[in-house]
Amino acid sequence: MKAKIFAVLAAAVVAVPGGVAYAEPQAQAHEQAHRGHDSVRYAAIKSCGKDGDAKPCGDWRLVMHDGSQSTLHDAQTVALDVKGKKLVYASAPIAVSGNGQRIAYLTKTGKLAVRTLGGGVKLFAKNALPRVDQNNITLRLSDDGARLAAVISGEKVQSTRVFDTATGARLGSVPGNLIVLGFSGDGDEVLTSADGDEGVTDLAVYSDTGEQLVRGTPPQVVSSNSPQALSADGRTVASLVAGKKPQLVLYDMQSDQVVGRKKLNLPAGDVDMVDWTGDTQVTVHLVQYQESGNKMTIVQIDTETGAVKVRDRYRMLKGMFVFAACGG
Amino acid sequence: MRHPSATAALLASAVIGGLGLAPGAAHAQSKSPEARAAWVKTCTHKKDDLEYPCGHWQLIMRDGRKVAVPGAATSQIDAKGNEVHDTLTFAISADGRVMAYERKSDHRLVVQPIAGGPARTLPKAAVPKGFGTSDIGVYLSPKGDTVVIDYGDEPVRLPAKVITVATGKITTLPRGEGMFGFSGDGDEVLTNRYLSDNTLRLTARRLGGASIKATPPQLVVNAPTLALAPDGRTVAVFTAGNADTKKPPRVRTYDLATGQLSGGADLPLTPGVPPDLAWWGPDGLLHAVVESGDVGETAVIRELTVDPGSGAVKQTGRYTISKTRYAYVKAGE
Repeated sequence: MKAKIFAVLAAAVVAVPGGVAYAEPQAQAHEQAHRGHDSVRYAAIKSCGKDGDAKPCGDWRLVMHDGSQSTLHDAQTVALDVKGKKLVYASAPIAVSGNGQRIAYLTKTGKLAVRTLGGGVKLFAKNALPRVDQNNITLRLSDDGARLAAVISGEKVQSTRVFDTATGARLGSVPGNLIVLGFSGDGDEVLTSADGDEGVTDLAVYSDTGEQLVRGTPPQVVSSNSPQALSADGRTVASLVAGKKPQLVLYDMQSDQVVGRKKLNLPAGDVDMVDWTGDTQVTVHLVQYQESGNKMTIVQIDTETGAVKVRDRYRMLKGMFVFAACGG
Repeated sequence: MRHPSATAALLASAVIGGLGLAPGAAHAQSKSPEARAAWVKTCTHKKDDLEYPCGHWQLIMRDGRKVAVPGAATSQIDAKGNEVHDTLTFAISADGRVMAYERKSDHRLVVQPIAGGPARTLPKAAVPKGFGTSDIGVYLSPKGDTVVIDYGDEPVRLPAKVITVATGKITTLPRGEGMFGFSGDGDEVLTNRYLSDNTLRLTARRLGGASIKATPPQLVVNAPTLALAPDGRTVAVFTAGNADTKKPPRVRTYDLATGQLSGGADLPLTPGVPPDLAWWGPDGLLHAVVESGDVGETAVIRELTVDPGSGAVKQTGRYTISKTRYAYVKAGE
C-alpha cells in the first residue's frame, strides 16, 4: 500500500432539492491553492421544472477551484433506460476523483469514460458495464482517480466492477450484495458493508482485484455513524459522529478494537463525505442545504490530535438537480 | 428476590364480584385464575371501510374460558379528549394473575386481579395534563405489583413513572431512559437510552437502588427480543435467524456488568421467527412465546421454555386468537 503524499478526496453524488432559478456562483477566493494547477471542485447539473417535478437539464457543468466553469459536452445528462429511452427525472451517473483531476461518466453513446483534466478521455470497452438503466449505475473514483468502481443497483443483484482508469481494464469485482462505501485512501482496497448474521451490519475490505481481505462486526459507535472510510493501511476505519458533540472514531478492523476517539470542533453542516487524505489525516465535506445555493465546507482532521483545519469553503450553484463534489 | 407482598395485599383486600368482570369471572378463583392474553374484535365502518375496535376486551384464560372485561376501554383518548384507536393501555402480568387497563367510564388507569375483585385506581399523575392515554405505554411487572408508564413525547420532557400499585407511590426513571421491560422477579427494570454518539445504552436499574450500564454490541441492541434475568445483570438475547439462508433463531446471554456475550445456541424454531416475548422464570429457564398467523388469519401462539445455555426448547402450551382480532396483548407483554 502506497503512502499518501498530498491530500485527495473521494467523490459522491448527492441529490439536492429541486430548485427553480439558476444563478451565477459567488466569486470565491480560496484560502490556499490545493494543487499547483486547477482542479474540479464539483460537477452539477441544472434542475428544470417546478418543485416536486424536478428534472435534470442542460449539460454537466464542472465548477473549478478558481470559480470558473466548463461543460462536459460528451457526457450523457438524462439517464437512459435499457431501450435507450430517456428517464427524464433521473440524471446519468458522474463521479469526480478526490484530487479533482478525473471525471468518470457515460458518454452520449453510452460508453463508460474517464476524462483527465488537461489530458484525454479514456473510453472503456463497450461491455465494460452490463446493460441496465443508467440511473441504476453509480460511479465512484478513488482519491487519485486511478481506480473506478461501478456499482449496479436494481432488482437483479450484480457485482460491483472495479477498473483501472489508465488502461480501462477490469481488475476485479466485489459481490453485489455488499454496499460499497468507498475506496481506501490509496485506492488499493474497497470498503463495503453487508448484513451479517443475527441482525448486525458487518464491514468488509476487498482488494481492488475482488479478494476479501478482512470482514468483521464493528461496535455500535462505528456502525451507527456512517459513512465510514478506510485508511490507506487497509485496516483502520474512520467514522464521524455528527451532531452536538462531534467525534472522530478510529476502528481497527484487524484487532476489532476502537483505537481512537477524538472530540472535534466542527463547522456547521451535514456530513457529506469522509475520506482519508493522509496517514494521519481525514478530510470531511460538510454541506449546508440552502435555497440560495448549498454551502460546502471542507475540513481536515488530524487523526492524532483531533485538530480541525478548514481547507476550503464555497457556495454551490443555485438550482442544481444533483451535484458530485470532490476535493478541489 | 422480593416476595409479591404487594400483590398478596391487593388480592387479600379484594371483594369478588360485580366489578367489571362478566359472569364467569366470579368462578375464576375456583380453578385457574390466570389469563394468557386479552384481545378485542375488529369492526368495519360501512361508510368508509375503516376498521375500529369493538365489543369488550376478552381474556383468554389458561383453563380455556373466555372472560369479558366490559369496564376496560377499547379506545384511548388524546390530550384533547378525542377518541383514538390505539391499544397500548391493556397489560397482563407475566404470571397471568393481574391486569392493568384504562377504565372505559373515565379513562383512568386501574389495576385489577384477573380473578376478580376491586380495581385499584392509579394516581391521576399517571396520565398528566397535556397527555392522553393514547400517548402512554403501560408496563406491568411479572407479579402485577408495579406499573411503569412511559410517554411517547419527542423530544422527551417527562421521565417514565414507576408506580407501586398497592400504595400509589410514584418514583421516576431518569429522563430520557425508555422502558424496555422488567427483570424476571420484577425487582429491576431494563431501560435504554440513545447517547449523543448514536449508540444505544442499556441500563439495568434496581427499583430504588443501583444501576448497571453498558453500551452492548450491535447484536444485542438490534435483537428483536431481550429479557433481564432476576439477577439484574444477565440479559437473554434472542436473534431472528434468517428465512432466506434457513438460519434458525438463536439465544445468547449478555452480561451487562462484564460485557461478556455468550456464544449462543440455535433454537429449533422457524428461521426468521424468533420469540417475540420472553421473561425469566425463577428456575433459570426462559419463558418465551412465538407466534404465527398474519393479520386476517387466526393467530397461533405457542408457549415455550428455553434453556438459555443449551437452547433446548419445550413447548408448554398453545392457544389461538380469532382472526377477527383488532388488537391483542399477551401476558408479560
